[in-house]
Amino acid sequence: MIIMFLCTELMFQAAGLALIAFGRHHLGADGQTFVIFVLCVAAAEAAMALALVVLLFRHRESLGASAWKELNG
Amino acid sequence: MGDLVVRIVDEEHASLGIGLGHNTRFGPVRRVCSKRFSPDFGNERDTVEQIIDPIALYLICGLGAAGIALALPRRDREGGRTMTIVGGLLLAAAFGLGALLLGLKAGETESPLPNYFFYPFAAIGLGGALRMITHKRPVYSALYFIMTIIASCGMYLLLSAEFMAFALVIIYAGAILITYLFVIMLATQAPTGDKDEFLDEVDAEAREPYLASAIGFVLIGLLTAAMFRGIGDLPEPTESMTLAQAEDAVLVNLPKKIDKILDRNDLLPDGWRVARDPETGKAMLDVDARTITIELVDGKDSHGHANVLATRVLTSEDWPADLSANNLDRLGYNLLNDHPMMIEVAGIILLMAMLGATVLARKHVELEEDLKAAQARKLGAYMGDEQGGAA
Repeated sequence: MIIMFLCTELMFQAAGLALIAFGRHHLGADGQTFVIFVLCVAAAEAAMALALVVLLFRHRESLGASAWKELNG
Repeated sequence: MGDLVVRIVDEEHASLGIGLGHNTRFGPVRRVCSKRFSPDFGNERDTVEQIIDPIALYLICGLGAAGIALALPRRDREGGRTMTIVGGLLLAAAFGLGALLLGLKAGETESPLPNYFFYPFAAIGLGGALRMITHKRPVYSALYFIMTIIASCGMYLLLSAEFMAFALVIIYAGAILITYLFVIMLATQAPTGDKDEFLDEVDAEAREPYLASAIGFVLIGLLTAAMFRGIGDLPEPTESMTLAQAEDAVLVNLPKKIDKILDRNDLLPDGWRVARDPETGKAMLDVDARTITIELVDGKDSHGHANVLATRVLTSEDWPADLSANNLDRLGYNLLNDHPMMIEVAGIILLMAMLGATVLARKHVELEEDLKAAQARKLGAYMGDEQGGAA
């Protein structure tokens, strides 16, 4: 489950790189401003991940995603 | 697992975007893509051929897909390690071939490679990202992710986004990743005897590795091709302006900063300041012509406007060497002037995350009835004492 969260962080990273690259292409600062926002979202997500992990670990003594199988739709 | 591959797509997409990129402050390198964007180029349809042979592009995508499908972790098969190595080699070959072809094409069009610093950063970043998703142990994944972040920091520097580069190191590598490492070390069991770590089956194995990598690399190919084909619709970059000029353009909005710098250079007599536009409050200076208008002010008139007694124009010889806006000035101005709403939204998001995390992770403390009663008595006695003392 942690790997999943890490992977979303990597996606944020890629999006940020693209934002800055295109912002630089157009000589604007908007891209960088949006990367700050992305950073905020990533930080919020890290906090949620920590909370979820603590909750999950307390309930199931495991961090495997399959421990939460009954949540699937 | 599907999103893993999509992530790589994004990463490569992004790096391709810069790879074909632009001159930076590191050297006056001519743009490779200036040809593509110039209006006299005519047919926009075959712009992708300018960069790389499309068939080669799709071939590279296929090779990369095969490589990553082999490299993704799985447990059910013998020789998983060799497969990983073979997959990694295939991927490296794909990226190497891509870089080589890009370089050859760039040589053909008689433009130098965009930026030599870019390639090591891209290689380190992509390698770290790849290793991160293929590694079986979460701690190593997190460490490889830090490597990827530092490499992309280097790319931010190449793109002259200095502030974001350092913010990235401090916030991402320093705070977010440490939180993740903390979580991982807190919650994963140590490897037991058996070589494999005690990991859940779902976490240790890639789900649908072949399908996911195929779709991911089809997306890469299509996005890359579409990006170059559709680029005619994007506004053309202003060729006449350099980055330094674009950054200095923000100076008109920062009259106080100009005052400070002029004062430091002994260019302002007592009572003088940079002339402000009475309507907008912007500083009156011409960044292109390098002239600054300064004014002598004395109090305010009945409309609240400054009472201007005299004005003078400083010519370009007087332009102080340290009068220029840097990345931080520009970013701060942009953030506060153009996107003030975003600060509010970010604040709300962070607050909600904090509240949510607290609510999710809180522990319900169950107390026995008599213990509760005893504590209530103790509290009551304490309060009584306090009141008695006060009286």
